Amino acid sequence: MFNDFSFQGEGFIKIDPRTKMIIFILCSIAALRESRTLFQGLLFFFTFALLINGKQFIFAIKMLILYGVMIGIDLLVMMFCLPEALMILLMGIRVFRMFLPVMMAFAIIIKTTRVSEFLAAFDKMHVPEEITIPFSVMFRFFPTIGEEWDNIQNAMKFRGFALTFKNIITRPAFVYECSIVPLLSDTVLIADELSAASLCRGLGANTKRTSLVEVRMGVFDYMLIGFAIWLNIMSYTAY
Amino acid sequence: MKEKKLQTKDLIMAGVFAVLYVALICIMASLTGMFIPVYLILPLIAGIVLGPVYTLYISKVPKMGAVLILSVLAGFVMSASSIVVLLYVVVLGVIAQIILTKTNYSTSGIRISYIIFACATEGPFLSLFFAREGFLNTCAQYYGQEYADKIDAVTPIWVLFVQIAIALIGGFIGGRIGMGMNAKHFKKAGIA
Repeated sequence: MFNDFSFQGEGFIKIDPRTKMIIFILCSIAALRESRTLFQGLLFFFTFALLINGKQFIFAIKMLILYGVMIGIDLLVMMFCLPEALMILLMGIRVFRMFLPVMMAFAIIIKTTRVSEFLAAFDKMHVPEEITIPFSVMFRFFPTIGEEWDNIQNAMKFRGFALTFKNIITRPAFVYECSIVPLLSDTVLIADELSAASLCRGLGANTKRTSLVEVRMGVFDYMLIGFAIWLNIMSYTAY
Repeated sequence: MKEKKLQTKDLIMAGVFAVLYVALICIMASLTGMFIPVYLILPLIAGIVLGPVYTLYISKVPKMGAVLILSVLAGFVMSASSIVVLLYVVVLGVIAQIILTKTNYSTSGIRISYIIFACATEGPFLSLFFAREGFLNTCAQYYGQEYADKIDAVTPIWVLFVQIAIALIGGFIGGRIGMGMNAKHFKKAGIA
């Protein structure tokens, strides 16, 4: 679950992190206003192509199958005149289908961008240090917290307080205290150690920091942004 | 409490607590995801469970902007379904920060600000509300107003308001538990 938030590999064609963010914002605006099937399909295949470009094959194919199944159910219900009760199901499926491209655009941001690329891009966008440092710490930390959580769960299982259905129902307060207190203490200790380590590496120095990786907007980036803007204009006009 | 500028140490603390905040939401969502009725009261549960995280974070970093950073980071991760969520969470963060500054980080101030901030877990549901509007509009154009009205009737909108109300209740209980836990464990252990 926590690996969903980490970098997994670079794409075929490198896309600037800023482009990915702009595409994500444009997609979420377009997706919320539109639910025409044709337009949705276009939006879906746009983000699908970007995922393939980012080499996220397994994730992309999962999404494709999910989308296909949802379209299939939609068609079935439409063909065999729908009873009232199925309408809620249909509505749920359609609303979820609207969100799918946005989730995929978000996955592109998270899974195909290195933390150092993020920092370089933020630096160019003049985002203050108060945001960029916690941001980089956050992405570095998802796997660590996951490990800590697993360890705490193991210790609790050993003493018979595992986070099972029965325990949650019969003694919620006790199970809750047993897992949250060690988690918080661990977190604070880890944060202290990490800040000592990063001060050694000069993060606290009061100078402007430089970056090893360079981010640059290429022709491809402008094409992608242009296409995303076109999709937004489409959603206003083409009725 | 003195208001000083945020040091690097505090920024790292903010990052780590943001991870904890988001990770706990993920864990709760995956535990409750199987039962739809329980999933709908997630704002209440999340408000209670995240209380200690928030109160410990504020008592570790009682400085201007700390809540704001937490809201930007948590909002970014929670906005996986729509960018609107980020704006919503940041607005809550600003309100919480104003309350904290006005009350000078007193115990009751922290609790009141958490009641507001607990509504942040409502964010992902809020995007469903916006999606519903867009969906109904398109429905009206395609299948006629009658059909759209019918769908409008079967999908209750009041759920959203109930969720915000229970999020506020969750925030009240969570803040209480959090301050209690601070006194019981973390102050003695020298962490808070």
